Order: sequence, then structure tokens, then C-alpha cells
Amino acid sequence: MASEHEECILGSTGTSTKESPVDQLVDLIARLLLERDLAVNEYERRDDEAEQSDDAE
Amino acid sequence: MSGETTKLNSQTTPSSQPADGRAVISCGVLLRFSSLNQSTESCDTQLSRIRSEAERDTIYRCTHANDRLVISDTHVWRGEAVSGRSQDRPELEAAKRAIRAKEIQALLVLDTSRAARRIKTLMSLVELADFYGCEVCFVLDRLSTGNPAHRKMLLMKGLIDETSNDMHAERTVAYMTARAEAGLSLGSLPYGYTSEATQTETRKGREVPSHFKIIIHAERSAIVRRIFSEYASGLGQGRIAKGLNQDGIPSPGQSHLRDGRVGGWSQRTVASILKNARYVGLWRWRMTKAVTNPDTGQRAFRARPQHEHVDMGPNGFIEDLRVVDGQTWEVVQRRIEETTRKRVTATDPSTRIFGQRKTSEADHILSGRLRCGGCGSNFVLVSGAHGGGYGCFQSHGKGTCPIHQTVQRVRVEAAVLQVVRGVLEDDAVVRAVADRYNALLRNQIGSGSVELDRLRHERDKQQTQAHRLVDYIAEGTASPTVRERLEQAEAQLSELSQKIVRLESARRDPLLLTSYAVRRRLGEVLALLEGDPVRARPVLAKLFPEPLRLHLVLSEGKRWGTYEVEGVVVVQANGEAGDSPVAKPFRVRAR
Repeated sequence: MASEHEECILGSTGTSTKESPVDQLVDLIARLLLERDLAVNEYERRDDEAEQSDDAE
Repeated sequence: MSGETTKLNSQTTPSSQPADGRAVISCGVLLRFSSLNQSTESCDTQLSRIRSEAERDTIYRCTHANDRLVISDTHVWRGEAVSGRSQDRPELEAAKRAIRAKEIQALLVLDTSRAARRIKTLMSLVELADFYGCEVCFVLDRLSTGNPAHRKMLLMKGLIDETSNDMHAERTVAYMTARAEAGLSLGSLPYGYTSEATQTETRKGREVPSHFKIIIHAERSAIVRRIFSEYASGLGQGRIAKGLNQDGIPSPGQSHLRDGRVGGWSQRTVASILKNARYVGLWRWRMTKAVTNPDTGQRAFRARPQHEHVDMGPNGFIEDLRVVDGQTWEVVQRRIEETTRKRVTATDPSTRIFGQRKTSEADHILSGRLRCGGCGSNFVLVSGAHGGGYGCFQSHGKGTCPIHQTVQRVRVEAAVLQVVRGVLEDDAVVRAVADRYNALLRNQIGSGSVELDRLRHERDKQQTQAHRLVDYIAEGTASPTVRERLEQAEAQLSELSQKIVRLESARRDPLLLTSYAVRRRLGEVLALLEGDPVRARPVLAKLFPEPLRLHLVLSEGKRWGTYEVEGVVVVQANGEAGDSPVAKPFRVRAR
């Protein structure tokens, strides 16, 4: 899941009723993929930081 | 309607003015009668009265005093057997739509009570008409919204209409209370009872049966006894319902099914019978009241205080109407209480509140979207094994559908997601996903620059402070607290610099997604959709606009087989505005 800050950046997760079903699917998939990538990125960053602090000790 | 309106409006232009030179005003007419006991021709009577007054030019009006009123047939709205207190009145809404669209310049109503019997509804119609420049004329009252002096009269007349309706309701309740106290039927009766007339009355010159006495229906009361005795002997409510269906006994609602419904006994029907105290002879009236939610217009029921209850026999007890003996009743009520307690304590407390689900969100991506290919009833989760198994509700809940085989939830979802994969194989769709992803990412990086500016500003502040502290220490007057503060400032400075470097590198090197990468990640996409049912379900519901039907294809010479999912899927985006999306039928095997 995206953090609060990322959710804020990604905007509302709701879909517009004006868009066609395929457009809505496209939007949802793009959001899910980006949220996943951001979550993975954040996880790796924390992992790196933890390793660096271990090395420092 | 629009063509007719255009014609009427064009008549108001000077070229279409009649010989007398008066402008023609297109009028709408709002008609209503409330009770089926009133003549069904009541609307026609109202209309002919209004028409004749319009033709004789005797309708009082202010704004259009010198114009000729013409009633268009397409602007006559009838509310037949509709209460003036009701909030759900299609004819009133249609009239309001025409006022908003300026299709009519005047609205004619026989009197204020025909418009509404709630002052709030009446005045909201008046305000709407005022705003859109439509004059409302109340023919018999000789009142018009075009005359500002009539506003007070309209308020008074609306108040009288509402009050007279309240008084009428009070009289009806008094009449019904007398009937209830005499133990007579007041209308609908629980399953197992019927009624017979004990008197006749003359209404509008006709002899009609009245004073209906409640009596036990021999055959149906035997079914009620069967339900009570089976439950008391340990059978479950669902099992009892299935047994009744298997024996071909018509359910209480069988005679008035809505279109497309299958009917039959269900666990809920049995449960409501088991909880109804009338079967043990306790008859009380006015224990609840119907209320309307002013925000949503939805009806709900509230318990009345005990002093409002009306006993229909001595202490509310009528021995002649007792179907179940007291001992069986006690056993059944104890068992219901125990079962409820067990169910509440057995379920995960984090998902429940006061014994009910905390959320109304569906748990799975296809919840509520599946139908049985045999009977058309809902396919619901009937088993919890292996991630859940879907089965026909009519078959598992009522025993009325022969298709009993279940299918694993994951298999059905996988089959449907394969259809979604098919939609995603289109190059244009894949490109759209990549573009949308990149747009969202750019947005993220763009907003990162704001964060970057903030961090740089913070770093500059910390740097200035650190320089001041260093100068102070150099003067040789610093205490250990000042040195400690300098260390803190240096640590914060280092942390800020790290953050700035990280954000700057992200800005320089944005990892944009290509169509090729999206295509490679299709498996992951489907897993993401499956893993987020709350967001995926509404989108899939639009992508599959019709419910998905599950057909059981039997294996050769066997009583079981494999399920196939049939439906239609929207395969491309809307074209020009107003075009409907292109939908393609599909049928896939769930395995």
C-alpha cells in the first residue's frame, strides 16, 4: 500500500463515471502498479539504510 | 415530447399569434388522487374541469393575465393512487423537470392539495416555479404564484391541507384501534391465518363485506406447526426450508413474486416465522411505526413505546388464534438465543460489531456478480474450503435448483481475469496503461520539487544557525549546552543533505514504464487486481456490465462436470460522446 504522502500525490483512488470501463481499468492498473513500485522502492531504501547503519556500527 | 414543445413554443412568436393578437402560453397540468376507493376517473374529472376553465378563460393568473392558455397533451402528469404526503412521486418530478427545462410557462393544478399535502413539498414546487419563471395556478383556490400577495394564502392553504390530512390519519387510526381491540383483521396477516367477513357495509351505494374476523388457516397452520416442531427437535432453519421446498409446499411470498424471482422457502422465511409471537397467541397492534429518512427518503421501522401498543385480546392474548403450544414456543426461543450467541462468539470479533459485519464492502472481486446458468439465481459462497467455493443459492439455500455442484472461487476469478488479460493484450490499452503510469509518476516527481525547495530552505536555515554557533564557540564563551546544540545542528544538516541528494537523483533519472514492461508484468497486474477487491470490484462490474452466468457442463456419463463462465466484456473505450462502449460476448472454462 502507498504511504499517506504517496496517496496524497496519487490523488483520489476513485474513478470518474465519465470514463469508459476500459479507461477506468487502465487508470486502476496504472495506480496499482505505481503503488506497488513505490512500496518496493521504499522497502529497498529502508533496507539500504539499515545496512548502512549496521556497517557504521 | 421535445417536438411537441417546440411546436407550442413557436406559437408564442408573433407570426403564430392567433387572430385575437393574444400570445399563447403552453401549460402543464398536474393531477393526483390518493385512494383506490376514489373513482379511478378522478384524474380525468380534474383534467376536464381544468380544460373547461382554460377554454372559458376563467383561470385566475397574474403574469400571463392577458395571454391564452393552451394545454399540451404531452404535459399532463397523472398521480393515480398516490398519497400527497409521499416523497416519491414520479408525476411531480416530471412536472418539475418540465419547469426546469422551460417547456411550460404555466402549471395548472385543481387545488393546492392536488399538488401536495405537505407544506414543504408545496412551497418547494412554488419556489422552483418562481425561479424558472413558471406561473403555478391553483384553479379552484383562485390563487396564483404570479401574485406576491397570494404567497401568505398559499402558506395557509398548504397548512390546512397538511393538518386536514393529519386529522384524517388520526380518524383512521381511531377506527383501526377499535377494530383491533375487537380482535378484527386490519389487513395483512401472518402466514397460517386468513380472515372472513362478519358484516356487510354500504359504501357509495354498494354492499361490501367488512369487519373481517381472523381465523386459523387449517393447511398453512399445519406447516407452521411442522416448522416449530422440526426446529425444536434440532433441525436447522436452512434444512427446514429445503425440506418444505422438496415437499413442494408453496412459500408465503409465492403468489406475489417480482419478475424473474424464483421464490421458495428460505432460511430467513423460516426464521421470521419462528420469532413471530402471534403463533403462540400474542396479538398486539402498533408495536412499531414507519418513519421516513428525510435525507434519503428511505422508509425504516422504529419501536413504539409500550403505552401505544394496542392489545387485540385480553392482555394481548387470543387463545383461539394460538397455533403453537407454550412449551414448544419456549424451547424454540431458547434455541434461537443459544444459536445466535454461539454464532456471534464463534466469529472473529475484529470483523464484527454487535454480532454483525462491520463493513458492507464485498470481500471478493466477483461478489454479487455471478448467476446460476440453470435458474438465474445468485451464485454465492457456500463453502469455506480452499479459499471458498461458489454454489447456486437456490440449490444450497433452498434446495429448489438441481445444480448443486460447487466451484472454487479462485478458479472462477482466474477464468474471469483471463478475459481481463485478453482486454489488456490490445496494444492501445497497454500503451494507455504505460502512459497513465508515467503521468502519475511525473506528477509525483513534479511535486517532489516542492519538497526539494522546502528541504533546501531548511538546510540553509540550519547552516546559518550552525555558523552562528561556531562563531560563538570561537569567542570562547560557549557552555557545554551550546556545544551540544551545535552537534544536533550538524546531525540535522547531514540528514537534510542526504534527503536532498536522493530527491535530486530521482528527478534526474525518472524510471518511466514502457508498453513492453507493462506487457511483461501482465501476470503481476492480474494478481494486483485480485489482491484489491474493494477497488477492483466496481471497475470489473463496469467492464462486465451484465452479471456473469455459470453453466455446468457435465462430463460424459457423469453427474458432475466443469463450470463455464459466460458474459460480455467491454473491449474498447468510448468513441464520440454518446457512443455506447463496444461489448464482446465470451464463454470461458473455470478450471
